[in-house]
This record gives sequence, C-alpha cells and structure tokens, in this order.
Amino acid sequence: MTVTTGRLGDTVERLLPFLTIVTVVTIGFLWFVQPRLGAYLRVRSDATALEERARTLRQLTSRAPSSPRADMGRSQREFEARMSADDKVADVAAALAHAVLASAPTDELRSFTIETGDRAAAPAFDAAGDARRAPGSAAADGADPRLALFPYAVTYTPLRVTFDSSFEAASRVLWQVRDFPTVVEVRSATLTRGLPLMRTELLVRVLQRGRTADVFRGVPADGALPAAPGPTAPRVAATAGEEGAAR
Amino acid sequence: MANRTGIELLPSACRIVEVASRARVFGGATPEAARVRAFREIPYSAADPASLTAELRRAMKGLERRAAVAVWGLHSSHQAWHLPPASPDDLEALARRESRQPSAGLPSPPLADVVVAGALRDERRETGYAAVAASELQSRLQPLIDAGIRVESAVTPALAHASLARQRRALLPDAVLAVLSVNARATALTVVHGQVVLFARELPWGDETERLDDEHARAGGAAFAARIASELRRSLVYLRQSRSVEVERVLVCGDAADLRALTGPLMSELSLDVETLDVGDDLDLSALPEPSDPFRSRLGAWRTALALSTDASPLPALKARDLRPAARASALAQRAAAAAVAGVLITAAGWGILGYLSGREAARQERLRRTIALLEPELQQRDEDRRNVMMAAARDAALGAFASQGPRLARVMEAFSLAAPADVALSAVRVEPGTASWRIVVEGQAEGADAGAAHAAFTRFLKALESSAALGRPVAPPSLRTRTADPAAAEERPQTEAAAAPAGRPPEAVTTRRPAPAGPAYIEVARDGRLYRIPLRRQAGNLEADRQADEARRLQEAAAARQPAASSVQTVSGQPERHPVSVVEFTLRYEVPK
Repeated sequence: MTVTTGRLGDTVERLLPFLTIVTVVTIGFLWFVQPRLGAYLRVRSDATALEERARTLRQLTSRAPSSPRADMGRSQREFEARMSADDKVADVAAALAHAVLASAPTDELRSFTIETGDRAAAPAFDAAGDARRAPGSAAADGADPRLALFPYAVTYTPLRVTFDSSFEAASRVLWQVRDFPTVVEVRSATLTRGLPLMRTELLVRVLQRGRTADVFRGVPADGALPAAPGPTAPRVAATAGEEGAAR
Repeated sequence: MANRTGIELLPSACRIVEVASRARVFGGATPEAARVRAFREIPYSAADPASLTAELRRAMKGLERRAAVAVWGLHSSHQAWHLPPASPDDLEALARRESRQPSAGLPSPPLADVVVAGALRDERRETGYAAVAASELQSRLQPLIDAGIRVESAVTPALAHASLARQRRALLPDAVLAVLSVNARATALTVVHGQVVLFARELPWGDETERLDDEHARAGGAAFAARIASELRRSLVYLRQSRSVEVERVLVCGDAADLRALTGPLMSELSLDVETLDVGDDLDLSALPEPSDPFRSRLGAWRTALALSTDASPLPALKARDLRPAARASALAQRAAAAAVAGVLITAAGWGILGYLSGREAARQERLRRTIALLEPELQQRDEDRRNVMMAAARDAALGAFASQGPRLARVMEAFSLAAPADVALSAVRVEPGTASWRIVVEGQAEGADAGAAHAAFTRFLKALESSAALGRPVAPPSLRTRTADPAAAEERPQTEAAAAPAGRPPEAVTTRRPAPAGPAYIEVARDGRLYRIPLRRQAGNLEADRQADEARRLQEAAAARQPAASSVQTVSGQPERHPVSVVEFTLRYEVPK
C-alpha cells in the first residue's frame, strides 16, 4: 500500500459516515419525507384557505346586525285586504262617479262618461324585474312592477273617466282617487283646455287579486291566458276598435 | 480501581501478576503505587502446552482474565528509524515499507507486527517496528486462550522492557536505557530510547544453563557476569557505531539467582550506571497474599510481568497484519452502520415531525370546517332575514304608493296651480305612465308686454315649479316658442306712412350703400325648445322700397286679422281686453314617482 492510496483510504474512511448519512437521508427524504412534506403543505394551504374563509364569515357575522324577523304574512294579509279577489270594477266606477259629481259644480260639469275595457292579466316579472309578456296577453305591457312583490297573480280592468270641468274640479277628483274597494293604478290623466271648461280624462286600472303565484319566479299569472271580461264590469260607453284596451 | 493482569511466558516458566492500579484523577496527581494483589508462577515447557493450560486454569481462579502477555523465544525482528512526520496510519505504512528491506531479517509471513511512534527529533519521527511470525505467536498464546484468558495484547520481551523503561522515565528523561533481563534459561537485552526499541536481543542461555555447564560452573558467578557484560558491551558498541547512540544506564531484572552480583562486573566493564530492579519502592505490597516471600525475595523476576500490568497506557501490541484490515473493515462497517442508523433516525424524525404537523393541520382544518359549517347557515339566515325585511318594507311602500296615487297627482296639479302667475296659462296637462314614474307633459303660454316680459313670466313660473316639492326640475329643457305682436301705435303709423309714402318724395335709388342705422339687430326663432337669435344685417339702397311695400302689406293683413278678434274680446263693461304684446308658448316635461 502506498502513501497516496493510504491517504485516499483514510479520506474515504473519514468521509464514509458523512456520505452514509447523506445517502440515507437523501433516499429517506425522496421516498418517505417528500411525499409527506407535500401532503403537509397541501393540508396547510387548505387550512389557511379555510381559516381565511372562517375569518371572513366571522367578520360578516359580527358586522351584519341581526335584523328582526320580518312579518311577511302581515304585508301579505294587508295586500289581500286591500286588493279584492272579487270583481270590483262596478264599485270603483260608482265611487269615481260619486267623486266627480261631488267635486265639480253642476253647472261646470259636462260630457261626463265612464268607460271600461276588457279584463287582462298583469304580466309576471322575473328576478331582474323585467316583465315577461304572457302569450296571448294583448294588454300586458306597462304594468306596475311593484305588483311582482306579492305572490299573487293580478288581473286588471281598464276604466276611463272623461268629463269637462274646471282645473280645480279635476284636482279634487284626483284627490278622491283613494280608499276604493280594491287597489287601482292610475295609468294616465290628461287635462286639456277647452272652451270654456277643461277636458279631463282619467284612465285607471282596477286590479283584482288572482291565485297565488311564485314571486320572482316568472310564473305567468292565470296560465298566461288573457282574463275574461268581468261579468259585472259596467260598460257605460262601448269600447271601439281594439280588443281588450280602453281608448 | 481496575485490576490488570500481566503474564510473562518464559521458556521455562509462566509468571502471572495481578495489580490493582489506580488511575490518575482527571490526569492530575501522580497515581498511588500499584497494589499487587496476586502472583502465580507456573512451570512451563513448550513441548507440553496442555499441561500449561491445565495449570493456568487452576492458577487463574479469582484473577482478572484480561491480560497482557510477553512471550519469550519468538523469532522476532525489532527495527528503528527516523521517519518523516506523518499521521499514524501513514507512519505505519512507511514503517512497514522500510521493514521490507532485505537486511531487516523479518520472520516468515504472515506477520504480527506493531509500529511504535516515538518522539520527534530534528523534524523526524523516531519510529520503532517489531514483527513476529503470526502463526508462532498464535501457537504460543493458544494454551492461554484455552485456559480462558482473554489476551488483550501480546508483546515481545523487548516491548515489555520498553514499557518498563518508560515507567522509570521520570528519573532519566529522554535517556537511552538498556534493560537486561537475566533469567534461568534465557537472557534478553533491550536498548530503549523513549518508548522506541532501538536494539533487542534474546539469548538462549541464562543463569541456570550456565550453571549446568561444567566449565562455567567451575568459574562461578563471576564468569557468568563477565559473559553478560561482554555480550552487553558488544551490543552497545554495535549501537554506538551503527546508530550513534550512547546508553546512559543499565536496568537489570530477571530471575537470576543473584542479580546484585552482576552490578559490579557490569559497571566495571561498561562504565555505566547499573540499577537492579529488585526493590519494590514503586509497589504497594501490603495486599500480597501469604506466603509472599517468593515474590518479595525475587522481585526482579516479576518486573517484566509487573511492567505489563502496571502500565497505565500500554504500548501497542503485536497484531496479525492480515487480521488488521478485517478489524479495520469491521470498524469501518460499524461506523458506516452507525451513520446509516443516524441517517435513518434523522429521516424518521423528519417523517415523524411532518406526520405530527400534518395531523395537527388536519385537526385544525376539521375545526375550521366545523366553524364554517356553523357560521354559513347563520349568515345565510341573516341574509334571508335582511332580504325579508327589505321585501316587507318594499311591499308596505308599494301598498302605500298604490293607495296614495290619486292624492299625489292632486298635489302635482295643485303645484301647477300655485306656481302659475296671472301671465301664465296652461293649455294642457298630460300624465302618462312610465315604468316607475309618471311622465308629465305641461303645455301653456306666458304673456308679456314684450318678449322680455313674457320670458320673465315664464321664468317665474318655472322657478316656482322647481321649488315645489311635488315636481322639482324638469327632466328635459323646456320647449319654447315666442310670438311677438306689433305695438298698436306702430300699426297705425305704418298704415299712414304707407299711405303717405306715395305722396311724399319717392324713394330714390342710391348708388352707394350706407351703414345701417341703429335698430333691432336680430330675429328671434323658437325651435326644438330653444330660442335662437339670428343676427339681421341691414342693407341700404334699392331693398328699402321693397321692404316698405312688404311691411305695409303685412300690416294690412294683420289688421284685418285682428279686427274680428278685437270685437270678440270686448268685455261686458265695454273696456277693451288686455292685448298681449308677446307670447311665449312652452312645453315642460317632468317625471314624478308613482
């Protein structure tokens, strides 16, 4: 054995424990530790995400005040009380006639007529508040979207009141458009100057509550078919031309 | 306190000594004297090893079985060199390479050898080397092994004497000593420097063999001493000549009948100090079992065995060369195995720690999932409650709005009525439905003495409407159309002027155009709700006559048109109705929430 090989052997002998440890640790790391390290990192990242989610939920929970339970039944009962399920067109027409006659002096009332149209279904609304035209519903457009807040199908009958009187009389009539047997929706009012009196034309919709429908679900009211004309609806003046709409 | 056993295997006897030696406490104070606890002497013959084994079994009862052994009579070789400084392993390799020289006289291999590193002198390491035949050593040791003795180290007498000399080094530091062991049938001469054997020689004769020789017996002890001295002197001369070494003292030991009788002849022959090691001043003999006279009276005979058992740091022993790599490989394998175990432990620790951490994180994850499972439904319930509250509020507002549509429209009409001054007349109010509001269109006209007054009246009306809570600002700019009538005086004057014009000086054509005199500089036109003022450029010259004719014709037509209207506006009192000079026709557009 030469000195050189002896030195090399000594070096190998000195380094052998270290090399052994490095080899064993490397193999152990690759075969055993690394998979577990990867699993640990995955679990840790998942736990971190969950912790963030929990923190967000805690903040939202602590930030959001606990609001009292809303009595949805109360507003629904009030709606049912205000909007009749029966046909109240005649009652509304009578009330409007009383209002006009009480508001306008006798010598300043001319050409007083009340006309009604055919009953139609109010369109259903989707979640975005957009009206869906029911197939076959001719007078479905222009309905008040607030009707979609209530879980009922709603039909309406247009009713037009026309008379010649003073501006003040027209205002008084408008003031008395309330407390009807059912809910009415004022669609339009037109006051035009005549000689010597003002021409007043008031168009309202007499609303009628139908069967229960899913609110915000776009369910067509009454099977998406146009409502039949109210049997008790007075026809003070015949509608002309188009079907189902007052002119 | 540890017991150590030293065994000297002489050609004719085997001496065993057990010593209880006290080690240095932290290497500090000098240890107390070694206490000799037991000693045995067994007759021995190389031809009958079985007898030795049997005797040893009896003799070793109650004694420490781990022993260091000095074996006499081996074919050995002792060499010494000054080698370059090197690590112990390199030094061994160098020494073995040096030992292979032909003059070394090595025994036949396989060898059992030892390398002893001495002091560093002149940047060279004094190195000793001893080798014996491994098989011979093994055969000599086999009876001891068979007797149950665990041989920790086996040395030659020279190496044992080196140990003896080293133990007495405190008296003569760095001195070259000669150890002379004179026994009954063998004599050994060893020259030691430090712990390196410089010279070793075994003589196959001794005190007893010399006595058997008739010629020497007749000469008596003096002749034996002279022979010893002669041999010693020759060896020292050889050493002086070959290695330039001067021996300073001779130590004498052995089982010769009268060791002290050698002192005088040796001193006179060699001129050196001679010390007989038959005094036990460095030993504690108080624990010697009785009878102890065989030990006390022959203390020099036990010196070699005592040197093996009392040496606190024994010299390296003879080891078979072919066994060394195996032992080395075994040690290397042990270190590698230990390293592998350490690596496995490290890996297992990492694996376990990661497992523990993973388990902890999994538990934390499960805890968080449970928390989320509790919080999410609660939050959803709160959202649902809030949405229901909003829905209920919206329903209440919707029902209220439906119930108050008529009165709110009446308020709008009232606002128009209150805002309209006397100079403003409304011709139409139209309320049309929008998605969530009413679109209100108002048409009317404002009157004034002139266009400015009419506009002022309209502006007052507009501001009054804007200040009204029911209406506010219009959603679109107002559409305006202004009509301005001619003043009454001016109506007559143009007629008279128009009638007088032909009687007067006829218009004359001018050749050059003149700058226009002062007067209205624009025309007002209402279009798309805005009032435009178009600049009017006046030109003098031939256009004047045409303009005057056109103006007269227009005035006549206007007068004809006003005549029936004037008659129709007569009041009951006969006073003429206020005649508007200028009229601003307007259209306003508003949006009012339903």
